[in-house]
Amino acid sequence: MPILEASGIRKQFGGVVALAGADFSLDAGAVHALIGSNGCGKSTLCKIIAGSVAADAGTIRLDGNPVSFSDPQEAAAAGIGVFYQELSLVRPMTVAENIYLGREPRMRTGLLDRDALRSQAENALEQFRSVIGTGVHPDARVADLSADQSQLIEILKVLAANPRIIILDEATAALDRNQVDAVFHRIRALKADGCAIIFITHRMDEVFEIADRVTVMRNGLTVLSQPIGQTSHDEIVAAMVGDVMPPARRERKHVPAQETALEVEQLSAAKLAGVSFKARRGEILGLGGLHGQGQSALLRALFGALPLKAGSIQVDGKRLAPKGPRTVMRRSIAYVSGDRARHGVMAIRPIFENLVISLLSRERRVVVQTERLERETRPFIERLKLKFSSLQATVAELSGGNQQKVVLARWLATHPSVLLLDDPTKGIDIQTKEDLYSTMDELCSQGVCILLHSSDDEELLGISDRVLVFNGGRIVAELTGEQRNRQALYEAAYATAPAAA
Amino acid sequence: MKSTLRLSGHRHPYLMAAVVFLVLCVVNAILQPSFLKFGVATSNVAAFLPMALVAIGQTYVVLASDIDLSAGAIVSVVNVVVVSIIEGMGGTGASIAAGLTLGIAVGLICGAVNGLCVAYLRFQPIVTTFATGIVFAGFALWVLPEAGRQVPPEFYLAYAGTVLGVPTVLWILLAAIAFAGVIARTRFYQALRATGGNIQAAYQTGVPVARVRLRAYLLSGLFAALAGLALVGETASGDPLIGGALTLASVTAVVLGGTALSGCIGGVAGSILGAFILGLINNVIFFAQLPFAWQGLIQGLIILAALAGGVVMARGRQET
Amino acid sequence: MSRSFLAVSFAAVFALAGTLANAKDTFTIGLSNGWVGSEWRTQMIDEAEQAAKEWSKRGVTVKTIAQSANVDVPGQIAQIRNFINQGVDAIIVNPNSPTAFDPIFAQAKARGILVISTDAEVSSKDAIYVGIDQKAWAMQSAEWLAKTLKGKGNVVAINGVAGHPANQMRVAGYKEVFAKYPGIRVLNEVNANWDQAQGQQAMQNLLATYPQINGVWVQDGMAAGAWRALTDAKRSDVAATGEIRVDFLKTWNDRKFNSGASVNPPGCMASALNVAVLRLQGRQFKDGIFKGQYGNALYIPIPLIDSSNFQKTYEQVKDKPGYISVTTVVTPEQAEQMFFKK
Repeated sequence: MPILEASGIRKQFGGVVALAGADFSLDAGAVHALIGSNGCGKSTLCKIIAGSVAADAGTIRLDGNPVSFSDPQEAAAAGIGVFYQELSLVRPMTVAENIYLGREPRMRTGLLDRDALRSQAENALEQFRSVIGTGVHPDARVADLSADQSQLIEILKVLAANPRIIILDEATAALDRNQVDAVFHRIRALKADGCAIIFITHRMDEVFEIADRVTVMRNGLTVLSQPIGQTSHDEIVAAMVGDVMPPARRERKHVPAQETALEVEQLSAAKLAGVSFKARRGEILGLGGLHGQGQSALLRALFGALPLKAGSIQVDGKRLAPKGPRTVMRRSIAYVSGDRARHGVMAIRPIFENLVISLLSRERRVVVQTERLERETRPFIERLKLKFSSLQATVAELSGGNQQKVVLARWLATHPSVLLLDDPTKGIDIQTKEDLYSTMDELCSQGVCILLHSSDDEELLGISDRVLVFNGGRIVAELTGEQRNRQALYEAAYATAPAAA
Repeated sequence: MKSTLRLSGHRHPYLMAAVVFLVLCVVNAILQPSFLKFGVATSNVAAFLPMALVAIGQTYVVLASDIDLSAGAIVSVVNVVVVSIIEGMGGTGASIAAGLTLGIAVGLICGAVNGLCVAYLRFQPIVTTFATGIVFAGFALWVLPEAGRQVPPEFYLAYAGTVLGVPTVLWILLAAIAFAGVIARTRFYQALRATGGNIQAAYQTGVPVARVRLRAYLLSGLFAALAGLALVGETASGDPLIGGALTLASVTAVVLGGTALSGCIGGVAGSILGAFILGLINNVIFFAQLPFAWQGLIQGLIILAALAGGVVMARGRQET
Repeated sequence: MSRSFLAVSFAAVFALAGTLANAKDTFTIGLSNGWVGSEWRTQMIDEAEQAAKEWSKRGVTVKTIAQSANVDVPGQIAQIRNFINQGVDAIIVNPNSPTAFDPIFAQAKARGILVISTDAEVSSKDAIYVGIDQKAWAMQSAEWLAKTLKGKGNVVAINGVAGHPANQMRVAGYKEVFAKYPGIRVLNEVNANWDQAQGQQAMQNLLATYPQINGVWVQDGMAAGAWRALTDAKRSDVAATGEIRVDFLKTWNDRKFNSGASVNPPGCMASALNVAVLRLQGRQFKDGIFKGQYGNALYIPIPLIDSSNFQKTYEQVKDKPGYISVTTVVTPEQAEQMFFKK
């Protein structure tokens, strides 16, 4: 009998279906790999099992009994421990405080036993001592640790609760090979003790190394579930990709020119490990791969929003030192993020102010001439077919798609020669997407160079002239012409990440 | 051994407060030679005690990344309720006991109202406590529309007197410090800091974040009530406006003491120092004999300088 | 936490440090004023400091330390605490509360410090009050009004803040006086919160409602407002009480008002200072001299300005700034005579 069984799980977020009746079953003493492309529903499924998200429909059985956790505390009490992709560490607190949060050792008086806390943490750290690097001790603050060290601390924190069901959601994403080995060593020991482990990863080689069984999800459904010995790398990739169809090619007016608009050499920053490429005028250069492999980081580094560690950037043959967005903007580079709420719009301010903010920061006059600014932005409003009642209405009144158009129009008004688009179509409707695509095409035929990162692989492959595939902060493949298909993209994206420098 | 190690700045965000405190003590001692006499020190503790108590309570709320803008109003409510009860019951020993008990109960009720609104109904903390503060202040005015009523001299003589040779106000401060020391060694306190540091992470780790935030507001209500009682001892009478200035003063003391308004970082020790710093600034201005027109300006500048020192030190920490 | 422990024990270690001593002919007096909102208060402090200097003519050095700030009650207690800690010989307070200073005054007395309140009486048995009797102040001007009206006529009263202790005493005062005159009818009593503009507004309303008004009893700055309303309505037939600032006296002079004003002198703190120094010199109060609801009050004379002495008073002050109030100070000689045993 499986220790945990989920069947017919459904979950909808607003209009987006995350899970459309997913099934999953987990045996004690086994490692079960759960894989699928971005947005396939695997993280949502885990959150439902862990009690932090409620399912719309379906049943979860634990030891054969139906359960429904209303919060993570109940799931934790039932022996379920979760490693969250976004890390549930409290950064200002120490390593020891984080590992034992909520289950600190106490003295007979009921007060915390700080010495015991420290020595227990010391013991826990011992498991990873050889691979965790320097500066990690029980009293170190998590904020001072590197990404891989934090990830190992999070794993220790999950294990400190002695769970019998452990969900590891991309627990190895930031780890190097030695660290992964240490974690696997620990996982095998847990397995031998009868724990059941759900292991989510994007690294195919890890699946074959550690998993006893693999389940593949696509579009909120379970599409493959096999013992690891009865499947193959190709079968798994095929299951993830689904029906292999060549992406629809769009009609396009633009033809990339030969001149180089942007040249990047050996660029390193947080999440970027020596990236080099050239982008031409009038070209849409796609940045693809799994989520968070450096695509977004590259765009933000180019815009001066992420400090560089090394490397050089040339725009139109002249060196660019991105000290901050303002200096970069002066070189006619614009950045649009799909994360509108965080980077894009000032929701409670009027549309007009949102449109002209980019012009204002270039403005050298003290007195703002609103009419002149309105004249400057008007053509872009029309080109993007922005729908609004009044320029004085607040942006919050607009739909997501129209909000995105406001952000884009804002930047187009600055007449950029290089446009950095960071997942610009996230959460917007199809018609708006079409408007954006045709605007991009038009801009390219005027010689603008566009760097496009999209989490929608279909879109990326469909509208890019070339696609650079990122994996572990590096470019691992360049897809041109007929290579621009899912199969090739996934092969490159799911390959073992090259060892971090 | 280990605890001395931890003095190294990382875990002592209130180091700057300690430095400012000592500097102000020196300045004060120069301007007022009797400053270091025991009686004078005790008298200063008595003067700063209400603000220190409110600041202690405020610290817990701020550590959870919330804020209590009703703390001063709670002080007023407790002050007038206690005085009214004691006078209404004839100023007997029993009436004093009843007044003290009900005063603390009133503080806890006010804290519970704040906590329920913020933690369970998910109201925005600044606006909510600002509004409940107005309600509490209105209630205080309803209980006692104008300053007056009196408690028996025994009450304030005990407050101003000594117990076992140690001034009562020192006992109260020491008890508050001891209480805070115990709280700081509970699972609740870790949960509180985790809630302030990363509420999502705390929730996912199984910390009952709503209950934790409610308890922080209860503590704020409790300490505001104690401050209200201290003011009864200090003034022997009721005044519905007496706590008004304590709200922002307590927030200032908490920040001066190195506790981050974003939560998690800091602690009660710093806030007590912060309250004493604010009090000493007033003393320095008093003894420097500044003309009235200059007092506000100088006071503000000293507070800004103390804050700037804290910011500079925090930057230094980040860069190392 | 350990740091505040440290601070406290620090203080304890140095507790044995030296003491302050005063020679018999040198006294330090703290002046505490908890509200800085009117020139009257500024004048009060200035006059007290002036009175302290005058003592040098008698071979006595009186040092004053003035603390004047807008503070709440705990803030004023902190002022007084600092005076105590400084080791002053006497503290003179214009108090923000009648009752809240009982504990701190008790502490001051325990340290041998003489505490005097002025301008507002306090309940503390450890302090004395030197100042005017607010009730007598009101009775005096009410008496003037009744006599001016020859004991007959319709009167209205414009009062300060309802429930304020000083206001209560004043209302009781004029009521007692008017009750003695069967011919005086009080038509209405309104509150204008000691605000000049509100006083003017109230007067206008009263004139509209009661055209048959003969007399107005009104306090302090509100009188200037009431008189403006009377002048605007061309009601020179109405007699009304006045106030004591030079501005008002000028208008009084120019327009020949029929007015009478009880003086609440800003010199009250200076008077209290003179009493304090005599007491510090060891002089004993006369027996049974304390009056008032708390049994701790020494009342000083309240001058009255009316047509009989207006010109003389006006000549003395007319060249002073408009915000200055007519004042009197109980001199050391007068104080000796009034309050102390031979």
